[in-house]
Amino acid sequence: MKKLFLITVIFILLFILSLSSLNGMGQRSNRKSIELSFWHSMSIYQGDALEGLVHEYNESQNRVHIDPVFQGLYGEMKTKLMNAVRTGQTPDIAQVAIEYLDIFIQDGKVEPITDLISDEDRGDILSQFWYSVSRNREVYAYPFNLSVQVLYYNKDAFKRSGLDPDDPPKTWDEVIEYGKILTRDFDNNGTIDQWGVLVSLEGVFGFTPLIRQVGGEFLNEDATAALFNSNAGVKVMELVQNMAHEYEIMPSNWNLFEGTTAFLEGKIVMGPITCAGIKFAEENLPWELGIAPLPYIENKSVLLGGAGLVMLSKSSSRRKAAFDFITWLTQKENSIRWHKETGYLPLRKSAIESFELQGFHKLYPNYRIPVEQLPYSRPPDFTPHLSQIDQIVRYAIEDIMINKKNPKIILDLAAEKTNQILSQREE
Amino acid sequence: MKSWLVVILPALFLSCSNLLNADDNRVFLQSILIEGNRVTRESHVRSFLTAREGQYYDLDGIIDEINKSRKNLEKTGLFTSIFFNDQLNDDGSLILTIVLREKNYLHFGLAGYLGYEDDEFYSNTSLYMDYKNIFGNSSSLFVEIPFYRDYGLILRYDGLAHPYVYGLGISYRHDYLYDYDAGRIQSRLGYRFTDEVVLGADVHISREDVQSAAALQGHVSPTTSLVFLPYSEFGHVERYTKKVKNWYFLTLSPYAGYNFDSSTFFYGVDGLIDINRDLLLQIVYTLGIHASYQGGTVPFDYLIISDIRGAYHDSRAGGDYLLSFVNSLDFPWPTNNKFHVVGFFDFGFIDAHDQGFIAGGGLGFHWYTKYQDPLVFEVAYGKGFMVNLNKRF
Repeated sequence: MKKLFLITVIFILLFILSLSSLNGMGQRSNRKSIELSFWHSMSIYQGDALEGLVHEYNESQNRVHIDPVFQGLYGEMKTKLMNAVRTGQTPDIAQVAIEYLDIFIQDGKVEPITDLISDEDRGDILSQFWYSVSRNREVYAYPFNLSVQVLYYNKDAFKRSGLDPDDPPKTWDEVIEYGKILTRDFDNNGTIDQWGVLVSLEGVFGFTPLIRQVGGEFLNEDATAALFNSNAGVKVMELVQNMAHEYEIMPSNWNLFEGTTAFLEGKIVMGPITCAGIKFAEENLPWELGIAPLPYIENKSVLLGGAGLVMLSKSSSRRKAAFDFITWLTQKENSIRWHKETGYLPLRKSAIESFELQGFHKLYPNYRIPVEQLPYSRPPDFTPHLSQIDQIVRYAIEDIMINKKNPKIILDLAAEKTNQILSQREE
Repeated sequence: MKSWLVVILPALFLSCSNLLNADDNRVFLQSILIEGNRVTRESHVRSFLTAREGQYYDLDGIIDEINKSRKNLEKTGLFTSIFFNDQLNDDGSLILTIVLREKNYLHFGLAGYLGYEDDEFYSNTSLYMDYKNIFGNSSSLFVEIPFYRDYGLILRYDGLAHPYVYGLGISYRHDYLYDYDAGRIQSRLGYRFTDEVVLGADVHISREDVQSAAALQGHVSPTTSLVFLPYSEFGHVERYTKKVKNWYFLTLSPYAGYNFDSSTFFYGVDGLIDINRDLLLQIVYTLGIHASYQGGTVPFDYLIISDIRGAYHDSRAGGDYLLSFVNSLDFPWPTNNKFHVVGFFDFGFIDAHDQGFIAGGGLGFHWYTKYQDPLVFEVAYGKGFMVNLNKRF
């Protein structure tokens, strides 16, 4: 029993030693002169990647300590940030989805950072990224995690159906042709076991790029009137409606979450999904993932989505420290790491042209596809009412897809409601 | 004469224009700089690089060399991050800077099982220290101090002079249960032929003195032995990226030895294969198959022993052959993938006096720290209840 006692004592001593060393590290970081809170919306592997970078920044210098806090996904973050603004308890830095930026800009809750941006960064970061965080020629956020939709497809399912896994469809017409081959009832029980495609037009974000692909727009130029009920919008909705009901190559009533789950399970072969999921899909799927450019109807167009980093501190020293962190986080090396570890787009021309990234893309060509789509990328039409309009459009699309309603009638009704909201804003 | 010039001049023009065009698409690699290597020697890092200073490369060529060099560096396991930064001079020549971030290299802790059976605690616990990259050249020093059931000291140095691997070790152990002393000096020399193939040989000189008659079982003691163990390794123990879905590691080692005191021989062959498959969502199934056979007058310290986790500590009694299967399923925790739950079930057949079949199983909890080395806590059930704690600090 003496030996057992000895072992127990050694165990305890070793654990006390390890815990004290961990505490010691924490204490070292607490001695920094400026502590900044950073609210972010990155979860799971994206959160790990972001917190890894933050940790590295904290270790790399002694002046500033960044305290990252996950505040839920974009919608939840927006609500929490609005409450924080109301109560004056704002974080120093917050990650805000580009479509929600207008909410914080309209009442002057977020100040422009245009003057802080160096000429080098202004030229190196791609113009469409600056455009996504700018309003009225002022920059309100620093571009950070931006993405486009790409076509995910199951290469194994392609092979099983006799299709070339390296020749994915390029147009939506080809998607229909492929879909007819890929949609299968394996056990002949009358229930489809494998759907060819799922185009989940999740409100504004799924609908906008397809309208642009036929030369239309979602809103007019000054965001005062809906244009999505134009012939272009009707044409898009008829196309998607036909995929479900005429060609029967996709389920009509699955939302994006259901679709993504089904895709993971191999029940959906193709679908447009954000490139921010490539890393997760490549590392977690049991089958070989293919990534292709978003198919087009007449013109190539993809929607640029994601978030930027806003600074909410009033103190100049805290703003300076926050900006130092943000520029570090988005520098060339970290932009490449962020792209590799998540799938989000690299921000800088210098990153895209680097041998480091070209080498990575040669090994993992799926990551190159979203970068190649950048010339066709545009953010959504911005308005502070985008959330409300998004809900209206979602209901309209559901009505068209599930209840097989006439697209023109339903889109006209949705446009009418949208115009009412936009006119209230004007008043 | 003129007709000769008519042929030569266009040919010269064509060859010059080809050269000029080639230069347009090529880049001159002026220099390679290494940064961030606080411990690792620059010469050691350079030994893994395939790009050469002072050479011309086309774009595809330099990218291929960067990828090959990165893969070589990744497989050393020394770095958490490897970044190739390219910078073009005004004259178009390239300076490549490799920015490295090193892991922490010193690990020490407590490893082994504590068990309880028949109103008695037992253990094969030891304290260990593993100092990787000790001289900045991937070499490592391993020190282990077993205690409780046995005591002693195990020292091992493993070096790498790419593509050569070498090692030297010395150990002494006294086992209370079987009342024996064993000492060994061992050396290793190997050569890495390809990324996945290493061939080499170990040589041991060992001395043992077994007092327990039960343990002796016909073996000659004391005895001094010389053992020659050629070995071959194929594949990788760990995947270097999660994008790899299937990977394996195979070792094969036939051996032969001579016992000086009794002028007798022994021989055997040992094979181990680990097959890993990432099933879905980084849930990894591992099947390990271990096969061993031996004959002749085998010294006690070289007897085949059971390697079943969770099995009773005395199942280490030897036999002529062993066939064991190690199964584990590693689940990353859905909300925190630094935390893994690992279930395992092992079983095997061993040709021994009273144990033809042995089995064990249990549950492990692995927490991957920022240094990427897990804190391991395992509860295993076989013939006893066991706890394994293994922490790399």
